[in-house]
Amino acid sequence: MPSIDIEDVWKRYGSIVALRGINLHVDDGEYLCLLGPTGAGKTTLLKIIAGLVLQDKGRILIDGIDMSNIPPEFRNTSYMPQGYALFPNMNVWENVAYGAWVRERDLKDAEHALKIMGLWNRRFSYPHELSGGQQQRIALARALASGSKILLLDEPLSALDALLNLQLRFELKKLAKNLGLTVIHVTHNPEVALSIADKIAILRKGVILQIDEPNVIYNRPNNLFTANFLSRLNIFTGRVLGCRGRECLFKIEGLGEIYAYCNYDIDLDAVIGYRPEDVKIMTHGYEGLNIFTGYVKEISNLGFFTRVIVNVNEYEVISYIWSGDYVPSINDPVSVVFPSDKALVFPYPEEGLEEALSVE
Amino acid sequence: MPSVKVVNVSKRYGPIIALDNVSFNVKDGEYVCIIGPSGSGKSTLLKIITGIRKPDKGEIYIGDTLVNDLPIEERGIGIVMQDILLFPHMTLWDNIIYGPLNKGLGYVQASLIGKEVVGFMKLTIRARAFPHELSRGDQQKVAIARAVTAGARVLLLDEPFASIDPEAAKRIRFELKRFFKDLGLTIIHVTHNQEEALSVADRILILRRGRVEQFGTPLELFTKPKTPFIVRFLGGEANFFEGYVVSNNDGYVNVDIGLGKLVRGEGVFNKGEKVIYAVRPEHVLISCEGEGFEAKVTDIFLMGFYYRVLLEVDDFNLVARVQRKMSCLKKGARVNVVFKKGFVFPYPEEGLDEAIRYE
Repeated sequence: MPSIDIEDVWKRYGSIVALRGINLHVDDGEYLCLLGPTGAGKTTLLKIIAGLVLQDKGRILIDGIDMSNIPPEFRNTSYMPQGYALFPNMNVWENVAYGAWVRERDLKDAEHALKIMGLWNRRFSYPHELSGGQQQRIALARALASGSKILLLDEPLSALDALLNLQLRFELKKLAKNLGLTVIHVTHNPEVALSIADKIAILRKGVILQIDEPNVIYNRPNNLFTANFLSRLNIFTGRVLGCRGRECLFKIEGLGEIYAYCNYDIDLDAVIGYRPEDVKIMTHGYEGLNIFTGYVKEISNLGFFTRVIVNVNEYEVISYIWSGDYVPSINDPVSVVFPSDKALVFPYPEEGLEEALSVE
Repeated sequence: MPSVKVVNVSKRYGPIIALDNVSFNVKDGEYVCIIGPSGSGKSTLLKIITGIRKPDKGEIYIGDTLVNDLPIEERGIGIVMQDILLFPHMTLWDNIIYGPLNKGLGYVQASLIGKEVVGFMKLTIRARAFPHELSRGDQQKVAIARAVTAGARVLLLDEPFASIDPEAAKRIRFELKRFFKDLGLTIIHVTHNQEEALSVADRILILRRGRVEQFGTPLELFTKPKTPFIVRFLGGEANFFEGYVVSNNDGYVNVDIGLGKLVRGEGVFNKGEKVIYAVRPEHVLISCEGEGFEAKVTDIFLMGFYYRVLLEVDDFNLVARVQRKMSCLKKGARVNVVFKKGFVFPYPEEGLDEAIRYE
């Protein structure tokens, strides 16, 4: 019954504080994605759980047992590093079956994992004979078949092309569930996290900003960084003119007035964000609240949606138009609608807007 | 007039045919992306245009000049690669004005050119910094500035964003496209990233096994994909069926794909002919009650701004994409499914696996 508890974990590398008091609980059998930009501390946290890096402060509990000072080999976790670390002197099958073989377990999970990864027919090849994507799949199969009940995966799909990434992430999740594994999957890719995680933890600069189910993280982010990291927002800064209940009227310099629904208390200054898919583009001529006139500046056809950039007063607004909906032509005047219930409104950040959104 | 014309180019490496009679034109000022699976010949093609490799057969024109026998430095092209090749021991500014100085221009004149390009790019860098002090994205921008100051009117970009943080790359690619358009440069950009190509290219050349599979605007590639491979390579997931033509008229065929009902698609085929049908997930339209096939929802995944829906119709699995979740869209629910008119693509049968294989 492997649950994981991380209690107030700190880690410092010289002058850089990599982790600042991490608290995290992962249920038995849960699939948690640790999502954040490069340099957030994701890999450090994963290595601390695996026992490969020692925290400065705090505890790691597995199944309620304090493992903080237990060496990695006794933690019963399987860690898949970003660089795969395959055994170069062993063929594919030996690599994948190694964990089960050491533990004197049945080898059929290894066979199954390798087949799922589509590399059963390459089982006698050596790592150097395979492409980066194939090596990554081998490493993934090895982690899945290791017999550990806890899987710690660091960007396990990063070397795969788009289609394989899509197919294998669902296979990975399914296999983890079938084997009853508890998984922490590190990724910087919001789409991967949203599509397979039971829960997502957003990590930034060594701090966990939010832990929630994917639809909550996406639809009700509790901070500006999370909201913008999941898909780049159209961002406006505004001043509250007045509120009725949760609905407030904002004055936005260079745009106009917008009514928006607020989940958080706003004193005066606010940041109002709109996801590109929530900005609606209609033929020119509509008038009303939250409707503005704009001119189409750029159109990119991205397949099942079209990305349109519209100049609205002083802003460039990005909208995603779903396949089959109205797509304007370049330079067309259009009506741009910002639905009041789709706004993501946050208090204006103390540290300044740029700093609050920065992914560095 | 920096257009680029590739005519009947072939190239072999021993028994391996890297390029097989490839022809295409890039217009003056056009932004063309070349995509294709690994091993499809993208890099070889780029190397032949630059002059790093010689074709076995065929001609390369830049403007109206046949350049087959011209060395790289006389082709008037700039090359930017995945590995950022700035001079590490020179300041950014010295890198940027290296080209004009090297051509024998004086420092003042070289600086004028450098300033103009930096201004056009809206580059905000410290001129006296060294390359390693910049992010990789900014380094790559400087590398592009250097190619432009050196007088290149045609730029060949070989995976220019592959070693840059993906989020930064998304930002930079749009900035660069505007810059290229403002200056009227002709761009040939090789990438493994379909989304990147779709978002910046005027036209996209898709290579497969050393041949041109299709060359067209992003819209053409999506609305008129020439082969099942295009459907799969560009759209990611897709639904493929094999079926028999039951009737045909006026450029349309009705095909039995084994779902109990006939499916109509655009195309000219004979009665009884075996065909492949391709339907993209966003063209599988789901309704709570209505016409079409009855299907069972087997799974729903949130992908960000849309949902990926798996469906079961008899023995078939379908994948669909929907933007909004209708009330009936729940795991295990019964729904109705139709394929969007005009977006069912029939192709001649050549073996489904073979038709969509990547390698």
